Amino acid sequence: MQKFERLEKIGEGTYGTVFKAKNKETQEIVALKRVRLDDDDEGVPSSALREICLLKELKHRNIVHLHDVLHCNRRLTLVFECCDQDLKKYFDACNGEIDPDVVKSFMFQLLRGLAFCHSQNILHRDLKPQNLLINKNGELKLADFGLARAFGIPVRCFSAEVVTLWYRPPDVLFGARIYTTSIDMWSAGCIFAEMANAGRPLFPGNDVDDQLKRIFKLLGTPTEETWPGISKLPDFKPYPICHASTPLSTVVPGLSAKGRDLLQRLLVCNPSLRLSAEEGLIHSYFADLNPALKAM
Amino acid sequence: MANDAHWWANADITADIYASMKRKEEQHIVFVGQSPQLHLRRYLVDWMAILCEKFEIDRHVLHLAVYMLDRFMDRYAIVQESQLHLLAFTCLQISTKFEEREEKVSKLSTYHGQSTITSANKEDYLQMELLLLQFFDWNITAPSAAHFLGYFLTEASGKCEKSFRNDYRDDCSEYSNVYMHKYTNYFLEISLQDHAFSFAKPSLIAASCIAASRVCLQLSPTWTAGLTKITQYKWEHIGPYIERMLRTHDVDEKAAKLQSKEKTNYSSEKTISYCGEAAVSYSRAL
Repeated sequence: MQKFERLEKIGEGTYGTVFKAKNKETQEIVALKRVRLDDDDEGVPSSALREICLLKELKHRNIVHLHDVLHCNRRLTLVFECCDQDLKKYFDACNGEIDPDVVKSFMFQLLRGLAFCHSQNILHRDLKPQNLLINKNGELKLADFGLARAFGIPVRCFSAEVVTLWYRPPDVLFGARIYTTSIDMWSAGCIFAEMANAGRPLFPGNDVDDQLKRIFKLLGTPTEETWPGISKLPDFKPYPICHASTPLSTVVPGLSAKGRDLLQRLLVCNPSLRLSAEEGLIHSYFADLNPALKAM
Repeated sequence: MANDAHWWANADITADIYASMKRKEEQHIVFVGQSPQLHLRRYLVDWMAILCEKFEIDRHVLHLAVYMLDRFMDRYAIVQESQLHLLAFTCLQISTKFEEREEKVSKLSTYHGQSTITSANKEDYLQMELLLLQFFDWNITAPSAAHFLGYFLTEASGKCEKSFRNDYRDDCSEYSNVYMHKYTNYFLEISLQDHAFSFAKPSLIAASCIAASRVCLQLSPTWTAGLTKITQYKWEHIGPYIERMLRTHDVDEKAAKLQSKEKTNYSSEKTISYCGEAAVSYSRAL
């Protein structure tokens, strides 16, 4: 551990604390995530184990880079590339205003990182602004894979206890345990709207019930017609029928018509109709995106 | 579930996922079969299988754990039998952490704490876990034959739904689907017991499981053009493995018959429960 000089604390991950540090030899600034191994009998915590194993696979410019895993003194240290801030802090510094081009660039990078994860059979399952890192060059990187899972075909039964409430899709809120890449696409939609509103969360629910009410109020209550099988979900209960009455243009006034169309296709209650990351990337909203960013 | 299969059949991402599985398969550590304790392998694998059954742990976990066990034993000579148990247990534990839900991990840990089979303490376990993870450089996202089998069967049934050709119609009946799953799962288990299968790629084993099952179900032809397309394996690739699987099946079947005969002599009313589900279904199907 003598290799690194510890600087300030950056935050708390799903497990363990994250510090900024400097490599004494190369002067490179990195982020160190510490995992204690003596807390219980179970050895390496499964969330840490999955994060390391999955990030070893995921080498992509829009996914945080895991340089190394060090082990000493009953502690694991994960050495990550360091980014200046996360999207949450970026919002805080925005003061309620955000450049639409920045929103477009971030959204494109978010979808590109996600498309890569999904093509590598990996679900993130905890997308939220705190887990998206932004560096000085305006690059966005997916981070914190503590809840991520590898998946196969056919999909297996997973836990329904995933994704922070505000970004959790209606199928998972109803207790669905069989889900796929669509779980991340809902979160991406929520984050898209939040970015367009310079950090105002789209569905800041207090509990599962409130969360579903907020979603249905905006998008309309799904029925067996719009979402076959909904009533068979484990925790399904009927909600008062709402019709989507508020136009998206009042919800996300900063977003262009094409942007609203993309958002509309991500925020679909029926998971099988939700847009995929790959499809999102070729949406016309990104037609006028800076070519340098596309090629990057 | 029907809805779910439909979703995958239409998704472009299926091709990506399969390509990624094939690519990862190529990165597998090669199995050499040079462990001086190879004779104990079968015993360890059976022990792991029993633990998985006891705690209702997904079969993908066992396949990954055996992959790790094989590669580690290949390169490390472990003298004490208790150490081998610790190794097998740790493989299972890591694999459970990666593939299963949290509650299964703690169940297995509880077992470890109470177990009299492994005398290892916490410290030994921790060291073994880190040794294993470092040995694999944390690359344990290896797709197993169980992963490929799931994919092949999903693809095959998807193709069935779309096709109304005669040679498919029989395959698609409810009856053969149920038995197809039973048989493929059985052959998948066999593929773990015999280390000869560890030399082959998981996708090849999965394809062979399907073909061997089709032989048992008397589906003709055994290997169709559709299956060749889905699995990317021709008859000559899978032939040797099918033979080996069917030989084991014959032995198992004879043993089951003998067992059921013996039991009949003692108490005729308990035949069914004694000879077990596997034996019953095989004799019925054939």
